[in-house]
Amino acid sequence: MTAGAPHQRRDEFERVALPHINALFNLALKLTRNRKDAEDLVQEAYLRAFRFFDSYEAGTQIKAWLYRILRNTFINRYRAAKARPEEVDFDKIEAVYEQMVEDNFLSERRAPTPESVVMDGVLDGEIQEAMADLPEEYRTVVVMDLVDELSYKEIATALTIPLGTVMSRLHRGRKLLQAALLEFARRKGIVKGPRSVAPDGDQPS
Amino acid sequence: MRPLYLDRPVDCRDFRKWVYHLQADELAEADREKLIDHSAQCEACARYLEAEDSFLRGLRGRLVAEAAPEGLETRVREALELEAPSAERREGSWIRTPAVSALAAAVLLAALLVPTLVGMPAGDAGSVGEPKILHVVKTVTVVDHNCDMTGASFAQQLACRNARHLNVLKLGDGSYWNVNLDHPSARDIVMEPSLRGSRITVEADFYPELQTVQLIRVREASSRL
Repeated sequence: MTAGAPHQRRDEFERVALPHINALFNLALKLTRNRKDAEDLVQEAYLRAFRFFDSYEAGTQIKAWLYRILRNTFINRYRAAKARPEEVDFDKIEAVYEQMVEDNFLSERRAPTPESVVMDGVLDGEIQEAMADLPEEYRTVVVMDLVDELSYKEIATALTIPLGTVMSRLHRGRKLLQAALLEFARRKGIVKGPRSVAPDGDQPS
Repeated sequence: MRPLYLDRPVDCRDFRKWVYHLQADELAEADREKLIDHSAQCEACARYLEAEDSFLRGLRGRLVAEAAPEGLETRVREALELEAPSAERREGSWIRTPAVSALAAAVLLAALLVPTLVGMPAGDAGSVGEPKILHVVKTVTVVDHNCDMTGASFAQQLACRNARHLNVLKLGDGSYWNVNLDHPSARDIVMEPSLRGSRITVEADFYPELQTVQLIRVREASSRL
């Protein structure tokens, strides 16, 4: 990006960057879990991107560049005081998830499907809650994959992480998300489950 | 060219490990064929794939993107308009330059350290008014804070000669630690452009409220990234 007169620079920035405001807001909302914080985060990310617009290479994917700045801004602004990353016992949750899938959807030849039972049985708020409970590094990748439908390469570029890390985070993120949805369904009595698969370790009633 | 991950015939465990990437069509053709061949011969995995496809359809149907609220774009445009006339000046400003927080934190930390060093062992803090301290040993990467925030490569960071850009320590989760200057190695770590991209292992006292480390020991962890 070459420098021009200030108003030309701003016009060019707005032309290429603002069309992605919905995608940025959506990711910001998933990260902050709060609409006001999400709006503030989007504004801050845009201002930061504008300040460094000269370092953006024209022709490369600006959405990935904006995502990267938004996520870095989020990490610095909202996680500054957090000393440790969020931790979940993934192996335990995965084992229970596999068992529940087996018991509910694979054991009988004409078993119901997760789409018809789980996804039709949970509320929008429960899906948002399950998404919000994912550790941030998994949540970001899941949003980019399932909502934005970015390729793994685009996600890797946006987050400046290796492709293998994208794959690992996506595997874990989706598994944790689906496990949480199964748990909501189990609590409603619409699927069978030996015990909770909630990441917070909730036990069956 | 996509990398190959499966160098042998797959079993059910492999299938379940790789099924999401099969669904995303992100595997090399040879790997994809191995998984498809397995599901053709294994009814359990074929049904597992159907269940996961069903889950995915449901997720995609319910996880729709929320549009930005009305007015946000106008708010951003107004903020950019305020920013634009002085953007160049502000970019170089000590106050608005993010990495300057390293120095600011160092000054603040020096004040906080006085009671700590005089009367309290590190890691034993916690009462009101005293800084919380964690003892950490961590392998981190030295980065130019300003450049790294925008996703600049290490090569670009090494080439950056903006004297106002300071180095910080980057963790694996993407967050940054500032470095208190009160250590013989700290000044080089913070000021030296040629260290950008270096992996170092630090033993330090970590001040979470300041996101700052007081170095105890430093050693090189590996060659440059």
